[in-house]
Amino acid sequence: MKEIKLVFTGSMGAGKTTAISALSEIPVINTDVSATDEVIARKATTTVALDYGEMTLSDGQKLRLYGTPGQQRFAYMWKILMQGALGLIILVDNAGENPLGDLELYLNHFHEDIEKTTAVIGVTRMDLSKKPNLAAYNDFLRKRNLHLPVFSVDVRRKQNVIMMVQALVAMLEY
Amino acid sequence: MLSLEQQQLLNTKLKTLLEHSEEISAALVTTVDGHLCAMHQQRNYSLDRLATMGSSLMSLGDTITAELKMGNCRNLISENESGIVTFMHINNLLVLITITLQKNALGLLLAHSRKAAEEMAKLL
Amino acid sequence: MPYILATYALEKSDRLFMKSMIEMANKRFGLQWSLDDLHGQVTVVDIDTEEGRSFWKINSARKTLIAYAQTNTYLAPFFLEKPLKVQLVTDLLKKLTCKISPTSTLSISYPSTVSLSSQASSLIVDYKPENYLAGLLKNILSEGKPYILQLTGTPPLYVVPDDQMCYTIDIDLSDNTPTQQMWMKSTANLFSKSPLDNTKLDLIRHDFVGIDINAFIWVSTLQSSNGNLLTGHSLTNTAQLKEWPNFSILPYDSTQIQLAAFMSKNIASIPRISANTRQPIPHIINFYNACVMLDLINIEKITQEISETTKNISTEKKSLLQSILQRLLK
Repeated sequence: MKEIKLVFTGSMGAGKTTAISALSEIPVINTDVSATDEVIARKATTTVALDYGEMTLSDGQKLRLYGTPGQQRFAYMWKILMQGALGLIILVDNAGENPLGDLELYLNHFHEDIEKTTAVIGVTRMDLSKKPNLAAYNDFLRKRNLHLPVFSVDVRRKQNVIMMVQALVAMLEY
Repeated sequence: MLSLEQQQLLNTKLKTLLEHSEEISAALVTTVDGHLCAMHQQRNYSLDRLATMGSSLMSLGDTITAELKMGNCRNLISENESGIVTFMHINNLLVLITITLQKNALGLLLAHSRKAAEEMAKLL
Repeated sequence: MPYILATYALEKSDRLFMKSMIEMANKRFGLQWSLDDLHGQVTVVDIDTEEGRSFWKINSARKTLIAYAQTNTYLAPFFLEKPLKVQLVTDLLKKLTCKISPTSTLSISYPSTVSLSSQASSLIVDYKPENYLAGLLKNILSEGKPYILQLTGTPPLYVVPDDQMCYTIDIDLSDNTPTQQMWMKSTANLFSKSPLDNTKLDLIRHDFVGIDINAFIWVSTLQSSNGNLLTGHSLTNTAQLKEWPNFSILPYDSTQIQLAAFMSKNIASIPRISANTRQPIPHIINFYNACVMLDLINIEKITQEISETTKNISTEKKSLLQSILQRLLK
């Protein structure tokens, strides 16, 4: 039976695990380990393989929710996890050093998958850092000729995460 | 994370491991989050990448054993057409990865690797 | 009878009275209306009841509803005052006859059309946002100075362009309370507008809740458009969304997400959007207007050509996507 899955990716600390937790019926299975490098200044732990959550659909099928590691050296996991995925949610930490640079990294890496399926972009922590603003993200996408939804989100709010998945589903339909 | 002195000690330990265990063609120490700390090899593997991937595998192993309530994950073994790779914790921050091209040397590989891991844990 | 009036939350006695009055109006003026409990082109809703208010909240944006109440608190375009009077019922039915096309398929939602009949065209008059709160707020934003907007019987709105916020009592714009509806649908001349003293700003920020001005403009445009297209815009023009509405701050429903998805990927006219999304044209017009007000529509790209990509997804996949949506909204 083919797996039904959504993948959450994005920069470290952007909220992938939190977003999956907001939706998952089960406690999120994670592969977080102690950070041993400069990452530790931002976060004590880092994901080295995947996060996993799930939702049961009305016919009993499982919608599997996977979170990728954020750091680029784990990019081999991005490819593995993306196989057969319905779509991608990219979370960008607006309080990071270079949010648009982070977005560019994920768009570059996943561009084939995005062409085959679709993606939604959620910009987190805009309350901590107002720039770049949503207009900047939309300009960035326009220059790349990408028509993808961009939202400012708080992934601790379940409704925000639901909204991103609703947008992803709508993008798959049209 | 490790001091230069500690890294040198690990490198020496790995060199000794390969010298005493002819079946082992490469050995490396990586942090749990995938940074290569020490290595020694008789081949030309890209050990940086193996360090990162090894950390992913080790964490998956830990997650599985925790899920199954089977205690600590002692080691992971990848048995392949052309050899064997083992992964095991040195301590809660470091992982030892060893490689052999001899398909029948699993027992030896595990025994030597485990001993080396215990010795390295004492050193640090 | 080609015209059918449905009812919602009406007392049994009111329904009986209404039925008799409709029969009288039909006999006297040759009208062709009947009453049905469930299905009709128009629905009379008793908004003096909790049930009726909930129904109104969910359906007012996409169905033709008549507010039946003691007072027209919702400032509904179609209103029937309590208690029922033959003359009022007759006048309303005559008005509706001119506006509604009879349809052979009875469904609660608006009939969706691709090609515009002249009758459909005549339904659409210009929407002038300057006549509503949306326009007032846009003007204040461009002026850049803070103001207090006050509508009798409602809390004041403290509009602070520098913050991009309206400060007011603690509300959720998706609740669509009667107070909010009064703000959103009242004409601009009913608001008093006075400058806000800059020295009071800190106090206002402390004492009141800030809501993004765009959220107010969005909701006001959606609710005051009533299916009428913005002045200067035409149903035959084509448009594309240049960016999605930010639904994390703008109240939305699932139909608007679908519209955004289609309109962001396609350059299409409103009738074409309706045909593809199977949503009623008035509903799309309200959404279109709101997107224009927030500068989300790429007006430079409006051309006479319709460029469209139609995705063909399998029934299985469609079913899966629906299943996911259902699960999300559980």
